[in-house]
Amino acid sequence: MSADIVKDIENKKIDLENALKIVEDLKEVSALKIEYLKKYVKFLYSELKNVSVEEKKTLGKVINDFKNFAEEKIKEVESKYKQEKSASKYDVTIFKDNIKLGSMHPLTKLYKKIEKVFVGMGFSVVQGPEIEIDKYNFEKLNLPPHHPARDMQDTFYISAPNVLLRSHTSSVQIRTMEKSKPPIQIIYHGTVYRVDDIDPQHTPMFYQIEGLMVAEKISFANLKAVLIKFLKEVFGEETGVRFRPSYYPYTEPSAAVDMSCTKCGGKGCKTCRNTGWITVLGSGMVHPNVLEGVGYDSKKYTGLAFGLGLNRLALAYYNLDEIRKLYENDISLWQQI
Amino acid sequence: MFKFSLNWLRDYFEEDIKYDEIMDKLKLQGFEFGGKKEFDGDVVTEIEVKANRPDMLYHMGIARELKAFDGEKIPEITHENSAVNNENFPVKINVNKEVCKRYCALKISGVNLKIPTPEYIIKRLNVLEINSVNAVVDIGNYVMLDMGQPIHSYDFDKISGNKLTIDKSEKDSKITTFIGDEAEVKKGDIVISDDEGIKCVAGVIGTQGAAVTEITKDIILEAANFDEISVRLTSRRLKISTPSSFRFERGVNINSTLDVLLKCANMITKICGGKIEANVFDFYPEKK
Repeated sequence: MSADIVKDIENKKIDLENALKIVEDLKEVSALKIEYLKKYVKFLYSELKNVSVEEKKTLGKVINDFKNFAEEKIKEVESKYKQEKSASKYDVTIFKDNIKLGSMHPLTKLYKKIEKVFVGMGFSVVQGPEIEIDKYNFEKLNLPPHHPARDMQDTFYISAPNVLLRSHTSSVQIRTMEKSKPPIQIIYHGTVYRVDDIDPQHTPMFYQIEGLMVAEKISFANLKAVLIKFLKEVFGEETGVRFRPSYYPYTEPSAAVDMSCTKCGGKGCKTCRNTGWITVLGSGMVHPNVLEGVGYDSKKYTGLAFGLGLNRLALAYYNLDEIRKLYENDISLWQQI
Repeated sequence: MFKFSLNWLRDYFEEDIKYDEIMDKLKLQGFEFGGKKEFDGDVVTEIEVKANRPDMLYHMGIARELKAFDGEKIPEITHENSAVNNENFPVKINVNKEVCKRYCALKISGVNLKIPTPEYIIKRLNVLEINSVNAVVDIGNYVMLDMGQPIHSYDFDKISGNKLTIDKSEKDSKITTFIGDEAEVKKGDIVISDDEGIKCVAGVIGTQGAAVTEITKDIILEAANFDEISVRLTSRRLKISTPSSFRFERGVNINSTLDVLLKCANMITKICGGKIEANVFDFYPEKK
């Protein structure tokens, strides 16, 4: 009885070897696996019950040998096909010519350019939180509670009256001055928030870049030099710059800075409302109250400060007409600029 | 924001002024402008006034800015003089100096309010979008737009107890403004009251209680300098913003209060008749 089985096993070995020679893919290999390793081996173990105790020993060894033999052979073929399969799926040498590469957002790109100009003049870059408290956003900037100039910045409150979304990045200047001693020469930037309906020229969230320089003997001449240099570096040597008297509670005197219209070069067009000038910066000499508020001696130290809306500047720089366009992320527009 | 009339500005210049020339000067001073409108022979321009320039919220101030550009001065405010005598003023006035830095008042007897407001005043108020009420109120508004000092008037006969108190309100109470709206005054708002109740929310709006009407004979004319923050808080809370509260919030020239009051009184007596009573009230404890 056991002799028949041994013979059958020998035949099966040959069958398996032949079958493995003609299989074409992994699917067929796994079919063989089921047939030989599962069904047939199961059958053999069941036959084992029908033989005598002595025969069991020898037959058991034969069955185990067959099992090992079959496993090895099948694995060999299987790994061959597996290798082939992975190689065909990923052809790393293929060339695809319509891949769209991402790049920096135009606002980031312009910011980087501006940052480079200021860093070149010796400014270092600092940051501050977007959720602010009244003290840093208003009070220490010479804007006590109930000051009418607070109307200029309609603010979002997280919990009125103290916790708010910063309405300008100027809060960073106070935070930095509180932590360090003059001389200070920093720029800081980020998103700011003001209650405003979305229209071509306004969005409730926008970007600001501001700068501050505090040391002994800083004068308005320094302010002019820094800003003229900045505008000429970014917009070209031929850019005209003018300073107009203005008002910010945290600077005295304050100046609005205009540059010649980028679209018409100063002749007058729709963008500059026929004036030839576009207002791009607010600036001034740091108010003594602000310096005293952070513990600086305002008799010894003076400072200059300036701020700009990156979105507005981007319109001029990329010759766009609507601030909204900067957020729509229209790829075809980005490719043009 | 303040709208000014070109023709009104011309009052301050002997020679004719050209619109483009004055605009150039103002622009060079850093001012920005909103819309511009033309009315028969006049040009009305909206000027953006930042919080530090309340002196640009009236025509004399704009004229002063223009003259200063050429190194000239505007003429001083001229009026008939009257002696100050707080003790003998016909109304007993108590002022809390925390909420009011200067308080001037005078009495005009025998005005005739049936006389209509002169045409030129109505025309000037209309181009600046201010409605005509009656001669005394119109002249008050005219003076405010001309010289920046808000003016308020009371019907003398409606002041009960011959007493006015300028102080924070001690309790909540309902008022009816002179245009007929209901409003709720809260404890702490600055008010002007007599024995009967609130006659005026200081610097913001008058009530019907003491309003000057067609049958008014005697008036008390008031020019004051209320505390900026108090006016602002009261105006915010009541959600009432008037040309007067807008100016007080930003600051009114404390040294012209009496001059403007007397000038205004002169105009009223000239137009509506009546006589300025001899004693003028002037509370000004901390001179600046």
